[in-house]
Amino acid sequence: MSFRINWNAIEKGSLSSWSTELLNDALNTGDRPNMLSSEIQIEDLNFGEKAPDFEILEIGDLGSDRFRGIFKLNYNGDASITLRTKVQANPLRIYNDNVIDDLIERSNPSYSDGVEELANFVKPQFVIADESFSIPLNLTLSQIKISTIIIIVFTKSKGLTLVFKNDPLESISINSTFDRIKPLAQLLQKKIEIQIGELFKEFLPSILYKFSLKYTTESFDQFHKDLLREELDDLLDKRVNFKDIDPEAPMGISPGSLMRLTTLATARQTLALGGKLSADRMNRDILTKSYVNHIVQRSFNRLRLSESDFENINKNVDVIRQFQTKIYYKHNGDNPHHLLDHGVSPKRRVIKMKKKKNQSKQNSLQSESSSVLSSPAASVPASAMTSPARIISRKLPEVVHDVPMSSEESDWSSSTLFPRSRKPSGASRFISMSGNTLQKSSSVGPISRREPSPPLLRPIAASAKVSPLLNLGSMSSYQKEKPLPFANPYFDSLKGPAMVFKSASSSRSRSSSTASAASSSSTSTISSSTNSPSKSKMSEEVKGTNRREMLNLFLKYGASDFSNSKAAKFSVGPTHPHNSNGIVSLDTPPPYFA
Amino acid sequence: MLGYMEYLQDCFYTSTGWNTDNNYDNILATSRNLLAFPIPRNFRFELSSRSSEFTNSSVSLTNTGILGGSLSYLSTTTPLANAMASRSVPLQSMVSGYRILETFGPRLPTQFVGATLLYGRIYFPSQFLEGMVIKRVSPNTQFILKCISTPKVTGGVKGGGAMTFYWQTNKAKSSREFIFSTSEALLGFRCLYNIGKGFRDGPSRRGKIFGSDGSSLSIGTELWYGALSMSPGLSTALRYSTYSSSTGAPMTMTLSCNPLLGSFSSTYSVRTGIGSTFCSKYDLNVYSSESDLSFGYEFWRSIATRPPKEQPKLDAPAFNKLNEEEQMRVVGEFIGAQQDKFGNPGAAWGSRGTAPFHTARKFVSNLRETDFSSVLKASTSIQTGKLSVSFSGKIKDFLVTTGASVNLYDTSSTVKAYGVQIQYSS
Amino acid sequence: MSGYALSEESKERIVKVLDTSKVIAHYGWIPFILYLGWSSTAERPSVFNLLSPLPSLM
Repeated sequence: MSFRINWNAIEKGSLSSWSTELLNDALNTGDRPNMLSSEIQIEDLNFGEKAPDFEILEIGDLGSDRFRGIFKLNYNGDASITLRTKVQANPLRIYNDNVIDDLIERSNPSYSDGVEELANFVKPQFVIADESFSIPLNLTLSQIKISTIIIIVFTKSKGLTLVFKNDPLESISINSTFDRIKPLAQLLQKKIEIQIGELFKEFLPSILYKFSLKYTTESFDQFHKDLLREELDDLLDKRVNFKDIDPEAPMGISPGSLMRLTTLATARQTLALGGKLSADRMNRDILTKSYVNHIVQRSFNRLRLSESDFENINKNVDVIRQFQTKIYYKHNGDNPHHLLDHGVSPKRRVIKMKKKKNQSKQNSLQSESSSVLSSPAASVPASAMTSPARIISRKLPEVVHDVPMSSEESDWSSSTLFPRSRKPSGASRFISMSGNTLQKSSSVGPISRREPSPPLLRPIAASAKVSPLLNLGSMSSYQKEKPLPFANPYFDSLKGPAMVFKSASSSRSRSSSTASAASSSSTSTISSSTNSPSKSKMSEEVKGTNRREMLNLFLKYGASDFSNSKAAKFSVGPTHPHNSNGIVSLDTPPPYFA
Repeated sequence: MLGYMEYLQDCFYTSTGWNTDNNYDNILATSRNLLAFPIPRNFRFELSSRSSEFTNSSVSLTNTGILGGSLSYLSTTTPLANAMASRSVPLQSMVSGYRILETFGPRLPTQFVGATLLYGRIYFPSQFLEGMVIKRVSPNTQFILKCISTPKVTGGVKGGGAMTFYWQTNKAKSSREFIFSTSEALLGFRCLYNIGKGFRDGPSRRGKIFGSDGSSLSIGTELWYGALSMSPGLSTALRYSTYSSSTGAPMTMTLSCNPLLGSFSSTYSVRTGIGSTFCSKYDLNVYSSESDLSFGYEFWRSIATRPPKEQPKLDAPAFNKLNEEEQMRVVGEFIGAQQDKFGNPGAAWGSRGTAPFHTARKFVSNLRETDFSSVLKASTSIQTGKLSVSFSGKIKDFLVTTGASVNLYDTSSTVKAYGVQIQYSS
Repeated sequence: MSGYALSEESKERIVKVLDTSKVIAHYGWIPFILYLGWSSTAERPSVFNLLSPLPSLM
């Protein structure tokens, strides 16, 4: 087995500066010898042109977390290193320091402060014979000859251990400022050879050991996280624009596929209210909202809604509401007056809403907007909770694909609009939409936002026993106290394709937290999900759609699905980007159309 | 400010008539006192007392992060009559500033032969020990042993120690000193010669290191050799001390050099007035061409001049019991009397003694009689930018020293050293 | 030469003796000073006075 390592590539990299830094630190740590009056600096570090011979003699143990090997290293190259420091030239000065050092070494280390006083007492008072006199010293080490056998043992838990079998240094040439003074040069040569021997024997192994520990002790979780982050950053950077593909005709794609792409892209966005719609989350100018509208108008003008559409809807919805209520009470055998008393009256709802607001500490706008949806729930007494409103089932199938195509009006499939989640887990798969958004979407139409109960929503609110999950802030605590029965006979009977804008919640507590998050601040949730470039894949999932589409959808399915299905269910709730396992659902009893 | 034990050591030298000025060790003492005065580095409180004329004890508390202290004892075989309590001690003898050279060399009478000083100090909690023995071997020979010892502690601490021996010979004309230290087997030799006609060794009552006009010129050298580390050391210095002809203000000039390292330094110090001294120092290294200029200044604040005291009888034991200042006064008066008698001012100082020296003598006696309450010292150096300030004074019966040192060029660092030292002795 | 060399045992003994004498010197020094001071003083101050660094109240 052999490896080929390009020795010349080493120098080009940052290895040189890195090792200079490392050596600088290493040389100046600890107590500086009294002989030196300044720090040691590395002037120049040159790895040379010649590569060392590195021979693998034996690999004793090899595993994912351990390694043991014996290597032979021969080096006879032209690497060199130049150091610069200042040397104290007055031996008596060194003597002074040595007296103190000697005492410190031989006395209790905790009292080393007092040693100086003691040393000053005993040492003779030199007049000026102990004056400081430093001489700058440049030292060049070159022609390093190394021949050694190295044993390397590495384990994940204990780090790296390096042992030299023999004295690695064979010879070294030392050039210094004192070359002309022969005895001094010889002394330096001798001392440095000893020092380098020590460096190889003790210093280098200890440094490597510490260095390896730094890596082995770091948790693998952190490591993976870092890796993932890097990957994500890369992904975000590598975006392709239409302009890049075909700069001549950026709109060269057929409107249909462009629309699908747009839908896909917009599906990735959250329902940023008032925000610009664009195909690209990062670059908002690629596809603007107006452009999309343009396409929509051109291609799908049938979907455009007029004022009259909404009038019809009101009527339809009213009918739905009546049906729903009737059927609901029929099935549940509950006291209809009870609900009527509490649920339908807008006046009462307002009062309840205020109560709700105090409890859940929401800001006024949010509570106002969500009041439409939440007030019935608030009015529902705890006893009435055993209702279809609780059809927030884990057992709910992934319904998206079961959603039927709209029979007459829809040109585009719902699956396009709500692409299936890439993650099969409990992440939200469908439109996540808060009550807020629903209300706002209704305001696109003739329904004014200021209207206390938009006609579009009233039937739902009135007829639905809104899930206690919508019980805003107090929800989570409620759930803890009283777990909701998920098995529901009514739900079992539900066979037809259901319009379920929600995901199976993997755990109740999670869903409740989502619910509270969703209901407490629908607007802010949405905006936060827009603003935070979510690291998870959730960002690429469907978070919702634009209001108009939502409305269209609602109407479509209100008309089509409701007509041929036994149940329609609206799960409405925003998906929190970080906690996307559950969705608040606003469940409605199945409206039966005649 | 000197510690109490150091003060007692000075008192011992004075009372046994040992002239420390005539020692190469102190040839640059004036400039050292003015430029490199010690800055207290911690809080230190020292309480000292004399249980008898022969025994003294002192306890000190220091705070350097951890509370420490020391207990020290000093005993002598001759009574230290000139040691004073902090209430009455003159500030000049506690704070070393400009050194007016002693007008006499070691006295020869043999009564102090065998005079011994024993000193020991143990530090807490470290249990480090300092010990010193000073023994007058002959009228002009003295032996000093200084030793330190750190205790052996269970847990691998060997415990260390070191000893330094001094063998000093002090004559009017010259002084010699042999030193041996056990750490690195350091050998040292120091010598000092007084140049001029006025110096005579021999059986005269009093060796003088002053020239005929009160000026003195001394030259000395030191040689060191660390036998174990093979480290040599060498320096030589020249001191010229004289008095201003007009004001009588004393001034000292020194020139010192270290031929091994090629460094030269010259100092000029002058006591510009009773209460102020100025010192400048110029360093130059001929090899590296590095130079430095340092300045030092001290200002003494006086309370009032002491009222003249009754002249004591001049028999020898009584004279010896006097403290330094009083002795000086007596000597000065004696000289003055001689001058009156023969109509030849400064006769005792030489035949050519003139009126300027008379003013100098007056200046000195004036200085010695002044009672100072506090002294402020400041020194700085151009090259290093270090500024040191120190204040010493008598507050009630306490002696207080405080000081700080900062580096003017290095603005990032704050005060480098500061501390307070409080002494009380009875 | 080997005849002059000390046996390990005696070497150890010498080291021990030196160590002990050092300890004695270390802790005996101050009492020694005090004793000398006390014996040289004619009045022989009380032990408390001798030891105490605090100002005496005599």
